[in-house]
Amino acid sequence: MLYDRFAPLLMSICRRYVGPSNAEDVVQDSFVRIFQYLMQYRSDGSFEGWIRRVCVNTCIRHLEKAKRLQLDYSGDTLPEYPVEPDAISKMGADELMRLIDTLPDGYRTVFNLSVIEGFHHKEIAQLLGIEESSSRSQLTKARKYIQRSLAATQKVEL
Amino acid sequence: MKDQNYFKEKLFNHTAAVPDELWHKIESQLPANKKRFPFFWFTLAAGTVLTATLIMWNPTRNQDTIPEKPAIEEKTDTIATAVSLPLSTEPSPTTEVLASGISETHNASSTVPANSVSANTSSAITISANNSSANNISATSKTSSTPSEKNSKKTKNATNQNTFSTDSGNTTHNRNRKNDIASHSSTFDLISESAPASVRSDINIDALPPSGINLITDEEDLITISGIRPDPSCYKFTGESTISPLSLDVFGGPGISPRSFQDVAGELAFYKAAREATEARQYAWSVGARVNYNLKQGYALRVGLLYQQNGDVFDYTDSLATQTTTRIDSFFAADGSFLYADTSRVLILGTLIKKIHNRYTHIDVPLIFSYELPLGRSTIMLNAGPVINLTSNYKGQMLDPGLVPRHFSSNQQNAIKVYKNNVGLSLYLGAGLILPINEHFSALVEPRFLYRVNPVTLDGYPLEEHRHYAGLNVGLRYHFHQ
Repeated sequence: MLYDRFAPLLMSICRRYVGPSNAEDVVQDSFVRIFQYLMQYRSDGSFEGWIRRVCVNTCIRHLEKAKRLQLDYSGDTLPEYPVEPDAISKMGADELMRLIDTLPDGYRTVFNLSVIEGFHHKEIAQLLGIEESSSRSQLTKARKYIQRSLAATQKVEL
Repeated sequence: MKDQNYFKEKLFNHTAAVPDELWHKIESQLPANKKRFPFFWFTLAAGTVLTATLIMWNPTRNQDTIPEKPAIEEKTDTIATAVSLPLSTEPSPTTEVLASGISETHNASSTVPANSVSANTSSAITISANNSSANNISATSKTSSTPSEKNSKKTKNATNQNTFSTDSGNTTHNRNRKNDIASHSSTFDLISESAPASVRSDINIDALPPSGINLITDEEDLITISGIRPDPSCYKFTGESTISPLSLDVFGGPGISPRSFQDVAGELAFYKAAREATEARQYAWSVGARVNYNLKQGYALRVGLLYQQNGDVFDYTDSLATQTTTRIDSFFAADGSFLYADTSRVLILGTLIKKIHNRYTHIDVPLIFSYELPLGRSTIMLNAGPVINLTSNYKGQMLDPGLVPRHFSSNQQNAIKVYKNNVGLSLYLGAGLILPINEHFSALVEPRFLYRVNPVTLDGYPLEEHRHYAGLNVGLRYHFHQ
């Protein structure tokens, strides 16, 4: 019952963080942890929120273990790319997923944590073991990266 | 970033297809349930085997039946046969045979046609009943070799050594004497009497007074007839019974306490799963004492006290546990004057591991109706009846519906109220065996089951918990004597 209800959601989360090729393995690890540590669920949050949190932690652990979580500490050299205001709103979920897939692992992780999961930079910094400023800079770079990708897509469309 | 909201709106609850085989992979990685040693079932099986062995291997199990009954039957056959022999003027071998023993007499009867002999082998009462239904019934004293001896001894023989036999065909016997069977004593111990005189008497049963027949059916006479002597090794034959209908059982033994949860609202499946994951059965046992009052026809009433204790382990691990401490740093100038204080809170991350031994106790009063059935020297009993709970007590910790570990002991502060102090009515069902040890004590083995009708949790608690008990009573029964 638990699996049937939450497996599709966790598959989507894992795909956003680790990509489609490794998503299945991470979902598997996530469920093993969920069943193993079910009693750790606290009443101060929703059960789905707890499961989501376990899944995100598993994704981050997977990225760290694979040494894919290499953050880009270079200067912010990317320019702003003009994008149509409705460009993202017109996109479907699968298109957005593919757009996120194009991000480097470090950018993508911070982007997912901040933009989609709604974590603050302080929380992201604690979770990833980085400075808050690094989290902010990674998010800025991720945003510009997406803008560039969208701009490139629009150019192609034009 | 304005467009961020679209990402969250479209992707936060986005789902993706899951391969079918993924669950099998997950299932294979889940920790298997711990295999516990089946202590209760092992004990139950051992008890059953032991009981069966005692029943099967019981060399004296038939001692409560009448061991001399075959001898009586043999005597009856013998006497009837001897009576049927034609009277001879020569010394008959029957005379010696009768004096020497039953078996030889029986051999002598081989000369007699079988259809001329009534071989009533059931009992003395049966003899009387059968004979009374026959057309011709003769009361015959032991045969003797000569008519003179027959005449001289006839009174004595008529008094002490008479029996009945039927003539199915024409009577060819010499009817020398008719004896008044009514004057006979009830003694049928023909073997003890030597009968030198050959007296043969055929008595028409119609001519007999009723008392002549009735004396055989008298219970005291039957005891004399059978010549039964109590077997000293058999506890049931100790002469006049002094056993009181009251007896006392003291028993105890291991058990298991099966537990089940019922999600009343249907919304706490995760809480039920968490409770089952964090609480494991550890042990269960019970002791008790009861007074038995044996009624007639095998029925009995039992009233007593039962104490039952179950133990669980609450196993909880929180790897994300935190502990917060407050630190106050006070700063002073060189002259010792206070400058300021800096207060900070320190958050310590760690793992919280709890292994709490929970204890559940019940004190009950069983009101048991029982039926006891003899089985050799042993007795089988079937017990059933209501059990009234006097009090129940609980101590330990468990997860609350918010999955936070909480005390549920009644004497603990901030304890969650989960369990009833009185669980009300239960039903008792047991079947056991009583094995006599000596005049006063018997061993008692009784597998039993206690079904608690009501949940042990308070009304309104979202997750109903039912606890039952199955155990093995092993103990002693003390038989009171008057």
